[in-house]
Amino acid sequence: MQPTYRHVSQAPTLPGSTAPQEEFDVAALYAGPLTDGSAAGPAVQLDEKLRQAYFWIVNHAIISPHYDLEFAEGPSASFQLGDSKARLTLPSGQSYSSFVLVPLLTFAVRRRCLLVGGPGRGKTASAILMGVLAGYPLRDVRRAMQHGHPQLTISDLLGTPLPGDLIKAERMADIDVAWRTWLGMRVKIVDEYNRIPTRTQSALLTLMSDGYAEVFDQVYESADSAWYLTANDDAGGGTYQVIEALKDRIDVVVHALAFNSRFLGELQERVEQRLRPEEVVPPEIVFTEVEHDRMYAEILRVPLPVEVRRRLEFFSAQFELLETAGEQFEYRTKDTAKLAGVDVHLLSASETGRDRIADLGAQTLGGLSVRSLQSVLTYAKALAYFRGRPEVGLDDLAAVLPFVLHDKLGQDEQAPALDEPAQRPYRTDRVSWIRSLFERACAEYDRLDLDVNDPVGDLLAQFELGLDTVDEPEVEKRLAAIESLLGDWSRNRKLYGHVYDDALALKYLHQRYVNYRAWLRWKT
Amino acid sequence: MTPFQAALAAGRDRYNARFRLAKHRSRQLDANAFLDHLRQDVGPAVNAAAAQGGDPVAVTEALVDLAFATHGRPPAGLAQLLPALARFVAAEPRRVAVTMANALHHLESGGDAPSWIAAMTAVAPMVESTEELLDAGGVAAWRHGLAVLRASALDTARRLRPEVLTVLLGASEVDSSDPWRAPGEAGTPRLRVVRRVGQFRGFGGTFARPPLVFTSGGRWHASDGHETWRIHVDRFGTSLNRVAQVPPDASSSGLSLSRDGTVQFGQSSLEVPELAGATSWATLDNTLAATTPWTHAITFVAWTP
Repeated sequence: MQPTYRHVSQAPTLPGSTAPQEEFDVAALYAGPLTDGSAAGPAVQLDEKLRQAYFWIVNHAIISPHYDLEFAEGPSASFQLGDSKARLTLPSGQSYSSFVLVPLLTFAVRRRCLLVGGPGRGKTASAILMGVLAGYPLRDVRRAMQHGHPQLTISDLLGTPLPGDLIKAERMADIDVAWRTWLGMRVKIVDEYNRIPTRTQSALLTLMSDGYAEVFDQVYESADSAWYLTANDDAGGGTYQVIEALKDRIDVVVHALAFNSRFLGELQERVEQRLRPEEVVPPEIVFTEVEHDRMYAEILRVPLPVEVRRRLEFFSAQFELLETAGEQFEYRTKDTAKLAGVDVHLLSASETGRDRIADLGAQTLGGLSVRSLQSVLTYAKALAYFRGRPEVGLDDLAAVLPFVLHDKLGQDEQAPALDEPAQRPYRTDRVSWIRSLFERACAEYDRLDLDVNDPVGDLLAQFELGLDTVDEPEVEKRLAAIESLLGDWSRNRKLYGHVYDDALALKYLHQRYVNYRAWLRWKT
Repeated sequence: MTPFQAALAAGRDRYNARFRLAKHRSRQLDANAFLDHLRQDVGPAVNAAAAQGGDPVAVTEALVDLAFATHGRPPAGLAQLLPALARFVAAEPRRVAVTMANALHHLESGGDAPSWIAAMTAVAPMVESTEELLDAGGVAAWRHGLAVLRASALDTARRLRPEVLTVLLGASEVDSSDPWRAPGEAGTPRLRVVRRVGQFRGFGGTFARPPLVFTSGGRWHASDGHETWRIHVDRFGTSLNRVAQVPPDASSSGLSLSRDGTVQFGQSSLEVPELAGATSWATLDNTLAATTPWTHAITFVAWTP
């Protein structure tokens, strides 16, 4: 049987993830290789269905022969090409195209994805495919897509008050609003969002972040949705500056990579034969609303091991510290400097004592927000789910970080580390820069042997056990341990980001024990 | 204009667009050959189903989908079978067409597809529902070579009406105790060679080296030292499925094999010279299986009529 355009990759798309069927039943006589598309067939696992959707898109819909999300299962061959020694790796594990996978994961977890890249790279086509995967007819998806333009008003975007009500109504509450149908859809597409006027962007922000729209005192509660925004310029250019709050609500950013000229023949055929892949999405890979909900719930249940989470904690601790920004310990952060309107780079350059080339924090203008860390956790779980892994692995986390933190981790382009010849490309290649930051953070984590020797982690774990049976001598002992640890650090250690966070954690613990000791004394 | 031609004309643009898509993915798809397939195979099936009250548009849609899915090359015999099942195609076009194509696909690799088609054609006027048709098809597939279906086909046979079973098996009831006895067959049991299974991989068979045979979990298995297979074997057919390594059972039936190739069962014996110097033998119920260093085949000897 030859593949056709409607062909969906046969399960299992990850060989080895399901046990082979040993027995043959009469019913199996009629099962496979063809399917009748009915729901009565054997139930497909949703992670398998998600993989089938991915492979259908890369095989039939979007010409993206890039495997930039690399995974290794054993040694991978690599080659250095050209004078710049550009490394080309041939991954030994199943690897993926970020331009297809990241929007698909966004669909699975209903988050907000920004697709950036030059015109005609398939950004909008990719977003439309996600709408079709959600089960909407192609015509509805196209009609529901919002096109950013300088004249786009809030009414255009959200809904129009009924003209009759506008004349007759005596109160705002009497005005009915004809809400735009796209507000109720599970997939929302805003094309060229950076061409939307600032005031309309604010209305969009409310809808994206809080899930409701407001016009003439009327409120429309929108369902949880996967959002796809496209922009031709990821720097936020275009007719209007994108407001920071709106950019901050975007969970993930993915690049439409350049077209590979070797695939022009494929493009030629599509032109000649008038092929439109979005019109022939196979029903097997369309997700019903119930499946969509179930898939999201299953993704959230994928466990994140403590060992993996600790590495993310260590990584995220690197960036906020700015010793010269404040006097009190808690205020020695880049946030303090930014709130004061002071150039973080200038303050950072005046710091002494630390190795500014080795210090990862010296390469950024800010730290990581809680929202961005939530996005990291969600996407890491989604990727592990997609890969059929029982729990989130370090490779899942490392793979999603660059896309989630793409616009969240502001680079200090004048950082001395970026003058190093090997690191110069990081000024333009944001994805590789974040990936290298994480790799170096992990290397430092290993050097410090924190998986084995983590006194702050031990103290926190001890505290987590509860204070019910802890008496005053034990509290004194623990307080002494905290003070002793900080005493050691004050003599021997420079203040790096992770030490700063650990010191604040120790202060937190100290305070909790002090309060508990006061309560014990009062009780007796 | 036939119902099929009318249905094609109604969806002309859509079908043409779909053909372009299929052509895009498979360059060997030939427009003329595909049209011939529609004209000679799909058309009669649609017209027959329409004559039985089916919606020609729905039937055409289902059968043309199948034609695209198989690139105009459906399993041999499907074109003959579908008009014979017109009543069921009319009722559930997509389901019946796809299930029959899948069944023929499985029968092509290990069964006797023409005999199965003949059995289905014979039984079609007697069955009342698609479910009963599919049950009959499962039993017929076992009868015509798919030994792997034996256990579930025997269960299914008990659901079928006696007259249907008689057409399929020549008997109105089945007996699962002896895998070598045909349903309804009488006669005095005796020792005899009932089957030889397996061949050298170099000649298109399964085993890279002469295998050893054993039972595990009450089922036949064989290993050539590299891989292990489960053997499904009975009067009607044979199939081998690769499995993970499994622990052997202890032999438990009264059959035995001596070094000179004599099979003994109670007072009866059978000389099988080719089994002299056997490298392995095992028994299961009324059957003994043995291997030798000189052939890649496993010889089955049974106490059966």
